[in-house]
Amino acid sequence: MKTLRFFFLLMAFFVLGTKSQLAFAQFAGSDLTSNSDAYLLISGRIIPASCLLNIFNANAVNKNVFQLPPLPYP
Amino acid sequence: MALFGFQKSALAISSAAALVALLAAPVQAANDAGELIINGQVSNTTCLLTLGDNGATGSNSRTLNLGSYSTTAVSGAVIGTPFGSAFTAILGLKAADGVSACTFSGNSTWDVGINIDPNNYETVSNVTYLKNTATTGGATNLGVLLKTATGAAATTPLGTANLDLRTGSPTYGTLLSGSTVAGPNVSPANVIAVTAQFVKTGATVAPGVWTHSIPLTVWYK
Repeated sequence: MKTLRFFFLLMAFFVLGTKSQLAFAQFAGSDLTSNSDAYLLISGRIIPASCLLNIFNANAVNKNVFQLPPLPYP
Repeated sequence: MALFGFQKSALAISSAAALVALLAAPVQAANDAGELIINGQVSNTTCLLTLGDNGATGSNSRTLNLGSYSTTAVSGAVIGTPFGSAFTAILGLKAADGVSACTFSGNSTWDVGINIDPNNYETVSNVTYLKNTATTGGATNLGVLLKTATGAAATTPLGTANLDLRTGSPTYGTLLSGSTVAGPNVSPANVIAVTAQFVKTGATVAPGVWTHSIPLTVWYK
């Protein structure tokens, strides 16, 4: 019983003595992966103008790609 | 005893020599300083976190551009009510090749944890919103509401439940699945949908950019 208590206290010392999330997670039965360098970036903009630029053309069905006619070589 | 005395003498001589060498050496200043951090870990399960498209997954960064809105348009929005288009990132797990399913080993659930500093979110009518972290020229009185949902990847779920940034444990932080049980609670085959949308948090929105970067940590259990 004393031995068990000793080992429990030893484990608690090392687990609680660190601020490592991994240590806490392992104590709770979880693992942490190495994906901590992934990010979700949210961005946007509020513009002062009261109007937004609107691009309109009848060629939108071609995804706004304008094909210019070939020019004769001089 | 004699041997001990000899050792003491040798130690004293070498210490004095080292001190003399130190004093005699020209003063050298380091040109620069740096730090090399090497880390890693061994985990039962290591999957690739997919962020919705191959480019984002490859660069470990997914950008949700909520678009541009004029102050005139925003003036008509109601405080606390999302406006504009909502954009969704689908987070999932794949094997290292990014295509095949990831095999769990010793774990049965996963989740993504985030830790938003209390200074970087605000609460309006008991709902939390991300605050703008742009350091210069940022829009004011403008937040972003995050909604989450989980489901099968094939259904491409959209976030439906408000993510409460105040919740979370010291271990996992706030779980993007919205799970409030003890730890990760998403099955391996399911994905997490995170939907973001602008919300006016004050009477007058000043124009400017809006940005917030959220580090993601994958948890298994």
